[in-house]
Amino acid sequence: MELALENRSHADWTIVHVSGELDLHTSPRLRDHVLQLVEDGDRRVAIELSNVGFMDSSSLGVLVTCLKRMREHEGRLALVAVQSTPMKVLTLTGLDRVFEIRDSAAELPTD
Amino acid sequence: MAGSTSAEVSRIRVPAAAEHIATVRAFIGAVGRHFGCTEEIVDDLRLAATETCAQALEEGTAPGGIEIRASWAAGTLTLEIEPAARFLSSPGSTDPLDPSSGERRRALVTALFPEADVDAPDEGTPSLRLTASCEGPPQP
Repeated sequence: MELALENRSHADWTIVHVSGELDLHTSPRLRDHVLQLVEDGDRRVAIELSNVGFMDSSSLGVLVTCLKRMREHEGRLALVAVQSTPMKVLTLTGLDRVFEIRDSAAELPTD
Repeated sequence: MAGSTSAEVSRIRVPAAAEHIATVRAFIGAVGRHFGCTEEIVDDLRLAATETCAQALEEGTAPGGIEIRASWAAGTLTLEIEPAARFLSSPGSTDPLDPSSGERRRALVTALFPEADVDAPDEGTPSLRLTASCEGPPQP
């Protein structure tokens, strides 16, 4: 299944809707996409994962890279609508305590 | 994968390239369901196999490709992944933001399958063995 990425806006957040499976082969596309958003000045980015049924640790590395880059720019990176299998990966690696995780985009904080 | 009650082996061999790991997952999904595994076990096997394949590719230990063998006997599905990556013997890390990719993969595989075992024969290529309880293939 090919990875699809689509940007939408919600309040002052840019939400990246991801569809497909995230692994060693596909996750670099997500990294490049999010880092370009940061480069372009976005400081609130949410990665929406409701259509991601599989995610491996290579993808976690990508998410951590994006989080660190965003923090360097004093921005925020959130994960939204994380499904059960990807959440299991986050939990087993302890990264569920590192990322800001929301059930839906409506729960993203706005100033 | 015709149904039977004795050991039944299915196998797939894929080239050593990241784009083929999805094929491994599809194979494991098919055999796992065929052998009566729950969806949770299928998901765990798919994840552990993905981590092992990815690590083997990054270590460069699979120049000739990766082979997955699945067999079922007496209520247990056994999955063998050859070559086994070296990551199961690497030291752990307590910082979730800064482990090496191998450490993160090792943590996942051993959390999902604490009895994951590397079979290292005197000759030949080591393989990683994962086992899970599954009902077995459909009866004729």
